[in-house]
Amino acid sequence: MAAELILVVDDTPANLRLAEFLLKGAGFTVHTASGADELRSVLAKVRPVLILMDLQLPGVDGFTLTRQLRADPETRDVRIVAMTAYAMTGDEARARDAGCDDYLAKPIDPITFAGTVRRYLRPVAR
Amino acid sequence: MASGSTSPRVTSPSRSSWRSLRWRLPLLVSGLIVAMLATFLFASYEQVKSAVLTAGTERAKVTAGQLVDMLGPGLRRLTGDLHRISADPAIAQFVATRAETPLDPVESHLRPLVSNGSQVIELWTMTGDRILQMAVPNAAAVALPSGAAPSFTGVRLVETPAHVVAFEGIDQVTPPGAPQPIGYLLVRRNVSTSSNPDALSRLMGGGARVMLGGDPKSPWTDLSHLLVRPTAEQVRDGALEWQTTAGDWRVGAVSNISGTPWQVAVDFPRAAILAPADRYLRRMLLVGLLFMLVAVVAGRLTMARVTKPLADLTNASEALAADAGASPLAPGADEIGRIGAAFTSLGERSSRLAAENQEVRTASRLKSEFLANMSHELRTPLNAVIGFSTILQQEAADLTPELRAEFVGHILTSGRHLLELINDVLDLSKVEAGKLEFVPEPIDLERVIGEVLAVVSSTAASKRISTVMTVDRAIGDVTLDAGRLKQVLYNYVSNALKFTPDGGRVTIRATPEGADRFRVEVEDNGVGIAAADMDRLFVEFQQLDAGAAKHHAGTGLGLALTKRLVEAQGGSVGATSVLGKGSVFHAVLPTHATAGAAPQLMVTPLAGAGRGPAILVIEDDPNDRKHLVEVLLAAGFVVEAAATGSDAIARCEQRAFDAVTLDLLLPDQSGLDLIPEIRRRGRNPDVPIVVVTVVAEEQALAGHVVTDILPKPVRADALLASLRRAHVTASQPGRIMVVDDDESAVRLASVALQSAGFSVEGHTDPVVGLAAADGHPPAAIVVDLLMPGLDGFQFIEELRALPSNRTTPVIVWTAKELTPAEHRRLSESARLVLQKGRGRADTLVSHLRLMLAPRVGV
Repeated sequence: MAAELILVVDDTPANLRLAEFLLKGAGFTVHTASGADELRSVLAKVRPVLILMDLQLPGVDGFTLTRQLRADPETRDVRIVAMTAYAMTGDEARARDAGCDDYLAKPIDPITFAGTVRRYLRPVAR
Repeated sequence: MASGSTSPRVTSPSRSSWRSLRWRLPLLVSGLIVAMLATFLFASYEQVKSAVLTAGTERAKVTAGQLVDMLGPGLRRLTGDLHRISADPAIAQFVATRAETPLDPVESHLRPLVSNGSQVIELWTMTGDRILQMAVPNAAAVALPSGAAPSFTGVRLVETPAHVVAFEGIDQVTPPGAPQPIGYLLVRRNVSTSSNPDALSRLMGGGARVMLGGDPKSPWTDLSHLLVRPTAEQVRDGALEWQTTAGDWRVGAVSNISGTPWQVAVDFPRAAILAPADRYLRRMLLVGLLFMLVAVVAGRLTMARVTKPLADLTNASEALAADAGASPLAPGADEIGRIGAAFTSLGERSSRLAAENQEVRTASRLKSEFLANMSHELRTPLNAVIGFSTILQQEAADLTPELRAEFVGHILTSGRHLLELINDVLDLSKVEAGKLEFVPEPIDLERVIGEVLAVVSSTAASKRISTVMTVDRAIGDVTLDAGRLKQVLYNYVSNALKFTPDGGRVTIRATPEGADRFRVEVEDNGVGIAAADMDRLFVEFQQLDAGAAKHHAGTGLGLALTKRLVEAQGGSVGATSVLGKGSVFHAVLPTHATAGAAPQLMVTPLAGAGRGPAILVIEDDPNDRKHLVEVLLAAGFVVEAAATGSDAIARCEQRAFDAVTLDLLLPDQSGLDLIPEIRRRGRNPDVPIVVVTVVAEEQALAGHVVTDILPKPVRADALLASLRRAHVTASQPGRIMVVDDDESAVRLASVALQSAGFSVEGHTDPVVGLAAADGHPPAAIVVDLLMPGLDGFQFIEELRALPSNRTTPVIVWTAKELTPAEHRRLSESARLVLQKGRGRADTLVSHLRLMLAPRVGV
């Protein structure tokens, strides 16, 4: 079984590195992007099964990016999970409104992180 | 069914409606007054009228009575005489015989009737023949109309053509035993003399008259010659009120003349008698009208006083209810005025409350946003800290040393970022609460900027960014809080470095701005800022897309904090930018800040006599003088400087120096001449003198005892070596004691201070530190406030109780936020309070340097 391709979008280098390390350690193929431009160039090359999307990004934020991805027929069906430090009441609803399939608040638990991500990859009725 | 129309909830104020109290009240009051006045007038007029009429008729009755008394006796006697004579048989016989000539007996019978010559006596037969007429000289003869005799009966008054009122008595002559009368006896007498119109007029008023009559069916005769007569039914005993044929109303009285068929009537015009009552009525009406006028005016005024404020109050209430903002009501001393005033202040309070409410809501919203942002900003670095430290804890053994180092690096970076964030937030909240203290002190702009550039030098070097500083001397002296200025500059410069590509350039420029301000600009040739983003620059948590975000994770608070720091000092900030070319951030600040927000602890250099050997530098060239002073200060000497010989002499007379450096070429005198003067005058007979000169003039110096001769430019080591040879050596900058229960803080301070040349003695136990200080007082003590056992406050108090340490300078170095009371408590015992934080001790070092620097008398 080929390693599933996951794209992590985060503007904080340390957090990007953390997710990358944890996911690679769990056997996933990981691509990273620190902003909208990088995301587009990565998506031009590969087609991830899951995008872990930071919502607070400089310039075009994660909400907008998610909406754009959902509007694009090419990326409409990609699983998108918000991985964000927005952890106040209502933030999850905002993420889901933008089109995220699920929501993961920072700080993440490094021990359960890979398992949680794997759970997101199970087929769900959309 | 649906009545969907919505009526306006607030009706517009009807300012002049008749239904408003303002009109209704005066009208109501005026109406009441008019009704009361009318009732009163009507009642009183009726009363007066009736009284006047009663009085008039009474008067008429009295007059009539008097007339009756006057006329009565004569008329009664005449009537009696007439009856007696007509019943006399002789008269009957005379009538029956129709004698042509009067008989004596008849004449003698009739004689009593003829009392004077003003009357006529006639005897008539039943057939109408006059058989006797006795002439009356002044009265015209009146013939009885033929055939009319039977209607003659009784007595009557007649008016003669000469307007003489006469009494006419007629009686039937009936012989005794005869069934029918056989003739008539007629007597006519003038009675007009008995009435006196003038007297009557005086008595009764104008228009009064007297009438005499008897049978109601027979005519009455107006004794005052007025030819009007009352009708029968109007004549009655007592009061008389009747209308003449001409339509005039008259009032009067009628009185019977007893023993005769006649009555006397006295009357006068009703209008005349009612004149006083009418006058009274007119006067009352006038008074009433006046009253009403006064009442209406007074009512209007009262209403104006009462209802005008009420109307205003109503309008204001409606305006307030409609959120239209009430205009202030006129204040007044009475209740209404007070209501108005109270309402005005209520209105003001209401709008103030509304404004405050809006502010509170805005503040609350901003706080929520701030909290949400803080949550986000804290979680972001915590994610890395927790994530990587968990990995390190769980799988340390499986990680390569490189990975371990990388992860620890991430943790450290994130931890520092968190600390920076917290410091910024604290500073921001302090500025917001107005609690941030500013300690203005004279500063050297060039030095301050230089220090900032030194802090960022490694960052700049790693990106090969050149930093340039230009300070315009025209700015003059600057008195500002150096720490805060550095914070502002650091924020600008570190931002500039972040956004400037490798190999770029960052320029700091300071220029004067008006008379008492200066401008500091930080220019970079980085990516620039889009015009749309300029507004968000100085707003909290607004990080712009710089296209290189991953290289610089700022807190998002730096510029917001900068703005507040500058504004709190009375300055302003701003930025200009050209996308792709670079940005210029600026701050305009007053050159002399006025006040700090908290009690200030000023740094004052120690009055350092005795803190090191004192050297007098005598040098007229400013550059050389500055150089010598700096060299000596750096070496730990106390330095004074003089530019002229006379100044030097004056200083030498003031104190003893441990050494003197002397330039031989002085403006006012030769250095050679100065040597003996220094030795002779004042307190320096044996002072070592080091001659500093351009040309070695050893020959000229023959005969003078000098320690050394050094050529210009003087090298520091040569100068110090000369002084050493003269046994003049400076002590070390000083031993600093650091007392802090946090061992890492002690270590941080120690490393920083030692690298600055201080010797450091660190203690984590304040009690031990106290004992050590007592045994060997240090040059200065740096103490933390929050320590277990003995806290900083107690430490300083106990230290001051030691005779050995009464004046040892103490710097409080703490992370605690001081209350004003604590500030006051420390201001007496501590030299300075410095905030810990940012993982550095450079502020501490610079303050200690300044504090322990020997006094420079330049």
